[in-house]
Amino acid sequence: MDDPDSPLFRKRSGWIILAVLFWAVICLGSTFYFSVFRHNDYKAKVRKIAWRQGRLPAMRGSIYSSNGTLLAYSKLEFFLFWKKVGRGNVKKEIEQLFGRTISYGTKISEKELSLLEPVFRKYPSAVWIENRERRIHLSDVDEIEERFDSVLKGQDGIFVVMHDRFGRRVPGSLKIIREQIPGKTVVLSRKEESD
Amino acid sequence: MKERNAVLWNLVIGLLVIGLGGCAAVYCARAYGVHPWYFAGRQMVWLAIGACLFFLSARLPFQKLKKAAFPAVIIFLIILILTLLFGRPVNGMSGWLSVPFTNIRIQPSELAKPVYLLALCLLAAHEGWSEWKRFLLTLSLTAVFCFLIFIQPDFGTATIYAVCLPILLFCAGFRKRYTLSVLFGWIPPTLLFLLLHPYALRRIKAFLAPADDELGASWHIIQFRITMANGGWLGADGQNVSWANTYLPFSHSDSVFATLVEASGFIGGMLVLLGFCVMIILFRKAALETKNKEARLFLFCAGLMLITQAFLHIGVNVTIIPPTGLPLPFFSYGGSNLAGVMLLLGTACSAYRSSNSESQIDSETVKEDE
Repeated sequence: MDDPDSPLFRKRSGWIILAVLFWAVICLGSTFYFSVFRHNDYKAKVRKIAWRQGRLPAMRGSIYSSNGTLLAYSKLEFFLFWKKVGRGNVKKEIEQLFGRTISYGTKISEKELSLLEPVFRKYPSAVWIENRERRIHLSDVDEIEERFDSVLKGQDGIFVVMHDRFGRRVPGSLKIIREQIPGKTVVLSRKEESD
Repeated sequence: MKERNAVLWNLVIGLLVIGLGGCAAVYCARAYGVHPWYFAGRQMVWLAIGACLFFLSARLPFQKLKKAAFPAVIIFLIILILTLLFGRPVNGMSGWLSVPFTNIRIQPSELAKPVYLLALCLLAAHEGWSEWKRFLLTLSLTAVFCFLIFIQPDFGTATIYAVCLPILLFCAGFRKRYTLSVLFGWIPPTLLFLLLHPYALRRIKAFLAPADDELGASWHIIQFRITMANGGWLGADGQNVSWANTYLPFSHSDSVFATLVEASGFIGGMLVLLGFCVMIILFRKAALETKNKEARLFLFCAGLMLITQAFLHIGVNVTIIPPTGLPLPFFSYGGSNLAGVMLLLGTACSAYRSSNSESQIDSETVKEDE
């Protein structure tokens, strides 16, 4: 059954297609405007809103006496923290990995730190580590620490990291802008020792 | 017959490929989450279900689908009323219905689209009725569907239903005064909706002056822009869709076009837009090849329904119209939407196949008579 309205349909559907194409051109123009033309402006806005700069503390150098005895050194310690997330039992999973019971803020070894990789991937915003540097003095070298501070302290590194709208770090977004340079080891001369 | 089946299979494969592109978009939008594959995996399951629905509806004769249209309309109207009574509220909207004894939620307004459109085409193309009667019936059908969806309240989906009517009247050869009366007739209910839902008015104000309240009502608009700006020409550095993952609300559903632009840049966005344009041109071509008026109307309007939804979604994402929640066909996460789209395309395919086989039989009969 041939439809006599066919030419009218052809004409009117043509008009609609034109309107659709016109809308598509406007959409395309707007996409171009934001993604290409205003790309740099918004990138600057992104940096301001979401990216934060942080400091990577440099490890302080060790102090040796003139006869090679260690007088002071720094030690990095790791402390583990977590929070509840959905139905997952983060604490239980970590305990199974370590084979020991843990508490909030527990100190962990470097070996245990390396075991945590799958947990970080599974709970990117619920598990975090705090690094703390501990200075161990085996002898009274406060004055030497002060005198050689510029050599011992090294240079801190700088990193940038993206934060989400809740202020959490976005996993995988950390970029190191400047590597940290550890402090140099100081070996005292006999004269410096006697001073 | 074999040739037609081959075409059908090619269509199924084509739709599966586009659907998998959608799954990739959903994965990109949730890549930084705790379970990045959760939504993409579910979308794949819905894609498989949708492909089956497409295949089944495309193989059914159009005559049978026409017979089933009005009973299906009544069933869907009952389901929409049940949704209002027992629907589960999601994002302040009670448009979802839980399937008993399962964990599945469906959105009946999405699944009802093909049924509504088919019934609308049948009413508009009915040959025995006057133009006025056909107009009143199509208007009433649209008003009932729109009313039930408006009060969920789902303004976006109701708009899709409402937009179909003037387009259909225009294409069906109604006099222009009918189309214009419908276009102007939608103004009072829209104003009423704005008065009843202050959040919608706030969105319009935010759209007109986004800089006034960047951390409040304009938040979504600003995030759309930043997400697209992150994309540049060819996508964010290393295709890291970081902004869509962390700041853009509904990055895997109502904001998926912006996510796509962040992942694949202006070029990717342009390809998606071009794909939809080619799609509507192909729909028109198929409609023009179809001799049967009902089938032709359905074919073209089915394409337009998809394109309207797609272009409204894109319009919202590129911030040329105020924000409203609408999924992008094939790409946004949502089982009901995907299943509804596949059902719509399957019915359109059935209309094309049945109508062309009818015309083939007609021409063969003419030859035999000669």
